[in-house]
Amino acid sequence: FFFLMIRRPPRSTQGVSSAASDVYKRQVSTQSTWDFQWCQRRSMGKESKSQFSLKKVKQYILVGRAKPVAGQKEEPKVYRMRVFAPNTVIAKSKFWTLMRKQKKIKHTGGELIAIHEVIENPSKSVKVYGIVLRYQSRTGYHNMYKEYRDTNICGAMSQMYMDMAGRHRAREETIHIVRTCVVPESKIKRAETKSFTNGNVKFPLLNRISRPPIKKFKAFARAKRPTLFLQQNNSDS
Amino acid sequence: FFFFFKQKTAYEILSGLVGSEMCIRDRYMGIFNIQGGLMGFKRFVQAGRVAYINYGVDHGKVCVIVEVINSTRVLVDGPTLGVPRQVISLRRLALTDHLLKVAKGIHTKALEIVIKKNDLVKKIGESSWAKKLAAQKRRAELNDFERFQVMMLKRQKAYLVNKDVAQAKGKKSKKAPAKKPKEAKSGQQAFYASNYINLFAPVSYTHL
Repeated sequence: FFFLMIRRPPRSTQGVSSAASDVYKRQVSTQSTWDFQWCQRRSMGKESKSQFSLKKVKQYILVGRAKPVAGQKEEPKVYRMRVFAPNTVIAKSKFWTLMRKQKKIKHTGGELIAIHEVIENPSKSVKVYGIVLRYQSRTGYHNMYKEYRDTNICGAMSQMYMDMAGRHRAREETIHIVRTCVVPESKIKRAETKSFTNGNVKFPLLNRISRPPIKKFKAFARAKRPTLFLQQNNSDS
Repeated sequence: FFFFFKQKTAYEILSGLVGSEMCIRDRYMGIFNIQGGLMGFKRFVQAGRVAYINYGVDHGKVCVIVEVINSTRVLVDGPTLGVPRQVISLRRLALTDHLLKVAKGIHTKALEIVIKKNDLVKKIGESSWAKKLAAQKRRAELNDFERFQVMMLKRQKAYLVNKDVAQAKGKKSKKAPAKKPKEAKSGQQAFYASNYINLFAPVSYTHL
């Protein structure tokens, strides 16, 4: 019964949310019911192999509630959460962590009703994803808004995690995602994202080292140092 | 008096840019557009650029850059070229001279029309790069007997070439050295052209 109540996740969160993943109350909504087959379809066949998108995380929808207690009048409220995690185990863990913090429902006193991976359709176009996050640095908590260009939200999220790790030494555990959205071109904030969104962007490729197409052909030692300019300057196409 | 004597910060003393400042200046590809020029680069990563995939699943195929995602990745498509629409790392691409006029993010079907209109497949096949690749492929496919034939033909060719070189050397030693080398060289080239032995022509043998 509960499965039918699950909605397709919205593109962005609505209104103000706390510094944690979104927790939705069960809603009577105008959104269409979820195509169960769509969300269960795992691989996109051959296409998924050639998709070069770093997927550090997957998107999950988790639905849970407190366990009903004997003397209780009302049924416990059902909550739905959108979580980015590398696998279901961590997704569940994150879910309960936030349920505990937000709704005072512990894993022991609650039950997970459903967990579904949200699989986006294979990439056809590049979008700009805006991510609002809160992370813990060595000295305190900070909010951030970051933009990433990618074909799907999981790719953008993966970029974000790597970016945060590289720039701020913030590991995945310390980052909470507040909000994600697809940013229309007119609303892009970051200069770098803007410059790549521009249709006339162009740049040459420098310092090209040609590498063997198959690992098998990788040589341990070579007689000559590589030429770094051939691929781009060669007018012989 | 002390108003005019301000302690100079390191920033003010330095006459040029520090490394990080240069990075900031050059961050958004400014270096490629110095004074309107493009520093002599001819091939750019841009929407419509035809590129050759030199690593991975689609290695050896040609594709069209549909949209630039960031400085390391692009969205690529090759409808009649056997490349599914995908995100690919720029490390796996080699840019060609061909550039199609497409809007960024063009759909597969529309791109297919553009490719057909520009006769891209034919143009790529005619390029010396493609010919070189074809020759390499042919060489890799040779069987033992064909390799033997290649060896024999190479030997014949070497004989003819050395003969001509010896002749040219003989002529050269008799006359004044200054102008002759050019002539001798062109003589060699003419010889090559006329007596070119196609080592990679398909050889048929039915007796085996």
